Amino acid sequence: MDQKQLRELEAKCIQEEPPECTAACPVHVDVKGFIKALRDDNLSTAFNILAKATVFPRIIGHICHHPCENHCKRREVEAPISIHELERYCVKNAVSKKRSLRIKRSTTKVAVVGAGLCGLSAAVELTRKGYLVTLIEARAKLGGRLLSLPADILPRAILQEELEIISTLDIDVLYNRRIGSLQEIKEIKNDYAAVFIACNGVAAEAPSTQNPTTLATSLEGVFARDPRIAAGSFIDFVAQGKKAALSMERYIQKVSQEAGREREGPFATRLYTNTAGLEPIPAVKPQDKQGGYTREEARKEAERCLLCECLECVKACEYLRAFGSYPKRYLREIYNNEAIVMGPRLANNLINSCSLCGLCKEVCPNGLDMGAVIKKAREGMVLRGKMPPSPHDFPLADMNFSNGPHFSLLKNAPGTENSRYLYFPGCQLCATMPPYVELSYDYLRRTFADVGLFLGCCGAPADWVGQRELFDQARGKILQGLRSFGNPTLILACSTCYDIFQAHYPELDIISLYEVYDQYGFPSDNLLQLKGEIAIHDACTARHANFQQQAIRGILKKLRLPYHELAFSKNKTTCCGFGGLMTFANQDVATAAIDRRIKESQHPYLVYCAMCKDRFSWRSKETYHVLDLIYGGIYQEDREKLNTTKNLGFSQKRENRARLKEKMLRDLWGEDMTISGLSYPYELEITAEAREKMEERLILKEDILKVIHHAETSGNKLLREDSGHFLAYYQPVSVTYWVEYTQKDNTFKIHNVYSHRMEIGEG
Amino acid sequence: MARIVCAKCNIPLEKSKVTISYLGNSFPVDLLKCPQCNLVFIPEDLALGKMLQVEKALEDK
Ligand code: SF4
Ligand code: SF4
Ligand code: SF4
Ligand SMILES: [Zn+2]
Repeated sequence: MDQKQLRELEAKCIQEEPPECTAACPVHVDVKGFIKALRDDNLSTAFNILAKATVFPRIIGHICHHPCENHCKRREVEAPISIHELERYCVKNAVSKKRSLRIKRSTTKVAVVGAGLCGLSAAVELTRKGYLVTLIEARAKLGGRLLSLPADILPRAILQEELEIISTLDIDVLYNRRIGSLQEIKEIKNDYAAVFIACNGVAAEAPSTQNPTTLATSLEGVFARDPRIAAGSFIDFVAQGKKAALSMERYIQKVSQEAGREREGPFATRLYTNTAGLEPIPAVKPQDKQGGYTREEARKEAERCLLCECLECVKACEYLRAFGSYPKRYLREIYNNEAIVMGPRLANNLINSCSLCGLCKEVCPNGLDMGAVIKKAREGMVLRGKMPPSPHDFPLADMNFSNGPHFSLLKNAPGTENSRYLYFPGCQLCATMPPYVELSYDYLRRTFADVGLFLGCCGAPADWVGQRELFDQARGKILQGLRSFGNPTLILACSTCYDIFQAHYPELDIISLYEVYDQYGFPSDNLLQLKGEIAIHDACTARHANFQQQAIRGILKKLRLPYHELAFSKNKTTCCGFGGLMTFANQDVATAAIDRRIKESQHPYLVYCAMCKDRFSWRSKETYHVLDLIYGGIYQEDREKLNTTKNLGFSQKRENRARLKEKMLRDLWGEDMTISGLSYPYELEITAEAREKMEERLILKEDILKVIHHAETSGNKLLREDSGHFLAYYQPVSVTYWVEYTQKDNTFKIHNVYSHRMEIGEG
Repeated sequence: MARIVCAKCNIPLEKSKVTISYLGNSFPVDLLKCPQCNLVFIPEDLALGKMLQVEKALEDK
């Protein structure tokens, strides 16, 4: 990712855009911050937020005509937040401390004509900028139109107190000087670096405002209020005063008048805030209309505010939520992770924990696809040799196993020489539901006759973790095999395989097994009898595979099984935590993702990805694979074997694959599987605790056997005197495995297992 | 921690300096070791605690 790409991506995430209220407010009060402070009953913070936007918070708090409210998001639900009433509550009740305005000092003199709200605001702003200000007023008093407001709207005392700031700031006021002509303005300009005409009379005849962005007039150094502003639009007068002060400063400093002022006045924010499904809450009206909100009323009204923000993706994705921020920030972290030369790469875990499921892109109003960004980042890490080995070693070894002699297989159907179709059930289905692979293969041969069998892994793990080279190797082998078979049409039983083949093998014809069932029907001799209703969980890798989604629903309809859709389904479905190999990099987040998903409905789930089933049932959610419905009848006597509420464990899954290949070779082709390699003459008895640790710590039965074999053949083992357990270690490749065991004849009882990656060297 | 003996040499392990390394970085640490055959003991809490932390830190370097 380069700087330019970073900026383009960042621009898509609008979470940091201001809410509608703030964008519509002419002086951009931070309404959200203000309301948060009120919710915390923190009046002084709330007051300071108002004071930051206007130098006369107590005046504005009483009289603002609140254009913000017309834009408030809450109006889409029932009524806008009464922002003005809350501000009035705040300024009436906040203990008003003497505000000390920090002031720079310069000797440049500027003049402001007219001491109404607009001129006063300009005068204070200019003083803050360090100029020596002369305020020229036609009457004998400050305040202009404010003076004629009814006292119940703007109490006199408040007005007087607020105006005191003028004397404390040493602003030079010339009273009783009516400026009536252009000539007089020109004369004033001779004595001052810049002049602002903030009063009505002369502003009207005087040089008309040329430029609404800067308020500059055709007279050099003379700025004038926009004469079109309606009399009651008080906050606009404040905004005009601020605007003039800034223009005068820029004029004096001889810098660009226009640059960077696009968002000075009210503007259209890009923020998106979802208001769908919000319950209406009636707006709070003050009991005492004159006195305004009580503390309780203000709190209640403040509670209605949505504190507008986007976070659509963060709300939908457990992973984005878990890291505590949002994509705009994450993008920066990922960029820095890449750019860093020395020091720790803090975003490695962030990058490796994403499931690449693409849900963020679906829910983001601007279609920001974090998954795609993260996949690129992973590829970059691998290329630069900066990918940590620990999160991906295990699943990549598993892929290697699947594409090795224990599992991989490519054959024409028994008794045939050609294959028009090849059934590719995928490594995970074979690992978790091997009998269904045999049954579905049988079905396919009966349906199409010349269907060959192709066992292996599609390469998804390598693709997900950014190992392009590994993936291309696997891909090359698959293509080579297919070519030698005349490129038959692949029938795929796994949505991930489908996704991978679609993306990386565009030259191949592929169809989903479920489409075949939907179109050609399915055998009814082993249907599983289910009572009640199920909820469909679409696979995240089938997010855009509409035909697969439809085929599944078609099958359910043919089965007459009542089902319903989850709130997040089809293109907005969520990942089970296996995608992107998230669970290997970040077990906690991956588990949180399932736990959240399985709570969406209390009904059992129907899935069509072997991993979804494995993971949901691991968390004890009753889950059926669509193949369970079609073939699960074979377990009618022993429903335990359906494994709908527990998962199998990594060792069992490997063993299942090897056994499946062995069995199919023997049953269908009458061949024996001969694999060179060690088989160990030990019986293992693994305690329940050790079994759990094996799963959590990614330790296979095979690893344990290797340790025992090493210890027993070399004699290298330790003895714990307290328990009488042996302890032995062995490092087959990069990980060192420790096994604590006892032995009785040929049976080894396994009490504990753990591992580390640090290598033990010499003393 | 109970006493750990080397089952091969039948003598108790003793505290000793051992070098452990990962991704090209080595550290000397005090571990229990058989004074005769050099078999080392790494307890579970060390492997999954401090050692794992260091492994992660080195992976992110
Ligand atoms: S959905 Fe997420 S990425 Fe998209 S704008 Fe909102 S917070 Fe940003
Ligand atoms: S009430 Fe007025 S000052 Fe407050 S946010 Fe609205 S327009 Fe701005
Ligand atoms: S709901 Fe709150 S944050 Fe959103 S626009 Fe309204 S006042 Fe502003
Ligand atoms: Zn020894």
